[in-house]
Order: sequence, then C-alpha cells, then structure tokens
Amino acid sequence: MKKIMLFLLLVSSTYAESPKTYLGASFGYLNENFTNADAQASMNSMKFKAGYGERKAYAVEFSLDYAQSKAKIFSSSNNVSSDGDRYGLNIDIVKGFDFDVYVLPFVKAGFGAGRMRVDRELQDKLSYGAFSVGAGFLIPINEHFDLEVVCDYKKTSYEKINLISSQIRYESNLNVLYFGFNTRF
Amino acid sequence: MKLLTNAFLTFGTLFFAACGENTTNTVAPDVNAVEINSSDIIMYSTDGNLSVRAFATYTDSAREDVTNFVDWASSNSSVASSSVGVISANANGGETNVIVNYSNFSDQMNVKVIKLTSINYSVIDTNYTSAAQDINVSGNFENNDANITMNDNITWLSDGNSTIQESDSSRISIIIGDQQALLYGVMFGAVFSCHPISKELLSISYSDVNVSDLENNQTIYIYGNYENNETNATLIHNILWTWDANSTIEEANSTAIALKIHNVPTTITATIFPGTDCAKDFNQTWQ
Repeated sequence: MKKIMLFLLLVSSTYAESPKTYLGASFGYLNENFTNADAQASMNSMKFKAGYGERKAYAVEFSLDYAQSKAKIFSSSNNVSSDGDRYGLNIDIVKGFDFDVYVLPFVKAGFGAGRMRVDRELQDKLSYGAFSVGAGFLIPINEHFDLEVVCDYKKTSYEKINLISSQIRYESNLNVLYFGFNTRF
Repeated sequence: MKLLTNAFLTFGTLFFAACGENTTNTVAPDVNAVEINSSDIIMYSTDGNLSVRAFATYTDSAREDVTNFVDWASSNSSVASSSVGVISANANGGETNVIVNYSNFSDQMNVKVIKLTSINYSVIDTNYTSAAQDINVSGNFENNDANITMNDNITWLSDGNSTIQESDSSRISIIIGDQQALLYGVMFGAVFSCHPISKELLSISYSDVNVSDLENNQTIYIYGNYENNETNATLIHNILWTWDANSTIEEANSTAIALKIHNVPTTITATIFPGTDCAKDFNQTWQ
C-alpha cells in the first residue's frame, strides 16, 4: 500500500496543475433485454476510454468496449454455444457536479456503434447502434487519479437479420454497471 | 448527496439481482435451405414459358417464397434459360439444369426439352384464292407424342406466292396465290420445315421427243399433272433443270425446253422448290 501511494504521489508531481486529459479503464457487467423477442443476455464487459474535460464540469469521452456474449440469440450454428465477441465505439458528453462531498457525481449521454460476431447462414456479424445515458460518481484519490462507478442505459438497435425474402430488426435495452479507474494529466 | 448515493446503490442492487440469465436457444430464425418447388420437368420445344418457384425453409419451420430474391441460372442456356422462375426453351431439343443460388444455398432441377420432329398441317382448298383460309398445325415429337398443340417458339413465313394475314404457333390464316407457294415454320431463328400449300404437282408430262435426232435442238413442251386430276396443265412452278452427259438443255421457260440430245439413253431432272426442304425431283429418261 505504501508503494502504491508513493507511486501515485510520484506520478502526481509530474503534472503541475489543472489536468484535463484523462485515460481510463473499466470493468463491468451488462444485462440486455430484447424488446421484440423473448431473449436476455448477461455478460462481463471491459471498457477503455479517453476523455477531455474537468471532473466538476463538462467532459467529452471516447470509449471502446468489449464483451464476450454468453447468450445464443442470433447464432444458429450447432457448432457454437453462444454469440461471439462484441466491440463498440462510443462517444459521450459528461457533466460533473461538486456537492462538496467526497464523491463527484456525474451524468452522461452519448451514442455509439459496434459489431457482434454471430454464426448464421447468411451473416457472420451484426452491427448495432446505440443511444446511451448514464449516471455515476467519481471518487478522487488525488488530482490525477480517481475511481469511477457508473451505470449506463443503452437503447440498442441491431442490423437487420437476413431471411432472404424478409428481414427482422432486433432491439434491446441494455444496462451496464462499470467500475473503473481514471488517470488525468 | 446522500439521496443520490442511496439511489445509486439501490439501482445497482436491483441491476445485479436481475442479471445472470442468458438465452441459450437461438431466438432469431435462420435459413435452413433454399429449394425449387418442382421435380425435374419435361417440356416440348414448342411449349410456352413454364413457371417454377423457389422456397426458403427456416429453423422455425416456416417456409417463404423467395423466387424473386434468389439468382436463377441454367447450366446450358442455349437449351433453356431461366429467369425469376420462368423457364423458356431456347432450342429444339436438349437437356439442361436450372439452378437457384443464394449465398451458400443452392438447388437445381433437370429440364428436358423434347424435340419437334414434324408438323401436321390441316388441308385447305388449293383452288380457293380469293380469301384467307386457316391452316391448323400440330406437332409430332421425338418421344412419339403426336398431334400436340404447339403454343410457342414457332413462327410462320410465306415465300411471296401467298400472304399470311395472321398467325400464332398453332394456326395460320393465309391467302394462297395462283402460283405454287411455300409455308415456312421458323423455330429459334432457323427454318424448321417448309410446306407446299398450293395444289400438289404429281408428275410432269413432255411432248414427243425424237431420240434419233442427235445434236440438234428440239423444242419440247412441258405440262404439269396436279392433284384433283388436273392433267397437262401449265406448270405453276419455278423449276431448276439439270441433265446428264448425254444431253444439254439449251433454254427453258415455264412451258418448254430446248433440248439437244448427244446420245441415248439420257435423263433430265426437273427440281421444284430447289434449295429448300420442300425440294422435289422429277426425272425423265429417253432411251
């Protein structure tokens, strides 16, 4: 613990004042419910992000998320037990607040797009788009480091699945709870 | 702030309580197969277009018509082609496979086109030249099917000595002329058959010939013997004359020939409709 604190102090001293750029990593759990099908998926998720802005004001965040699906909703092949990896790229606007307590709550809104691997006769991947809103709080460790807890809600719309003479579009509501760590410089 | 923290923790707890379930049976249906809804087909070369459909079957046991969405092809389009489920013969006889494709899915069926071997023509009055008469036609095919109505792929032409007023594959409305006329059936861009439609020439008669008068031109008058006992009539045919080494025809018209005999026996040949499938030879030998 002492080593960690010394490391944080060392890094903190590198950046003099008013850090606005930050990088972060989060680990979370997502739960997805489809609105036009009786289907549900739950899985772990990872997110890497880069942002610019102040903790107590506005910031813009770009993030790349990854999840390994454990549900088999789209894949029809008997060779797989679940749908495949899903990658997403998101952009969010974050508004932070300072209520003069130890944590800094924030809200966020944004949109994103991604792609999920599937094993179907006519498609091996499905793209999706999503609008998201979220809320959470930062736990500042010092000027350059903070912990983050955030809950996102995403309205997701998948690429239509091809049935030759017709196409079906699936939509879902997706909730993600992330725990993360940010470094600011 | 306390309220915000409590709300967040409550929401998080509810979220995790709801987590953990995963659907393991595929919800989104997928395509199982694409199939043509017909077994192998046999068609006459004079049939019109035939229609078949393509269907997709799905993992949820549904079945949908995908005729308009799949690619249609023929392994030998010179025999028969297929387009959006419509199969058309392109030749008088042959075999091909009609294939549907969509991504990795494929199905095919065999199409056999039966060859037309001959045509039956109804009889008309060859002396009636003032108005149109109908000739009804039917086909005989290589599989021994006879008198089959022809629906498509055959058109009709006349040689100028008659006038076709209107026609389809099974009927010709025609005004015949005074001259011997030919009717041509055209299939897939080529003449399939010709048919004489005026009175039939049975034989040719010649005036007397002096076989001992060698190396001198002799004028020999010619007459036609037609059906309906019309004998010694003026020939209504254009004739191609040929001869052997023992004589020479110096001149010819529709009523006479100028013949020079070198030796006997000698044979001359009159060919009507030369160069057509209706060509017919009439030989005459003098001893």
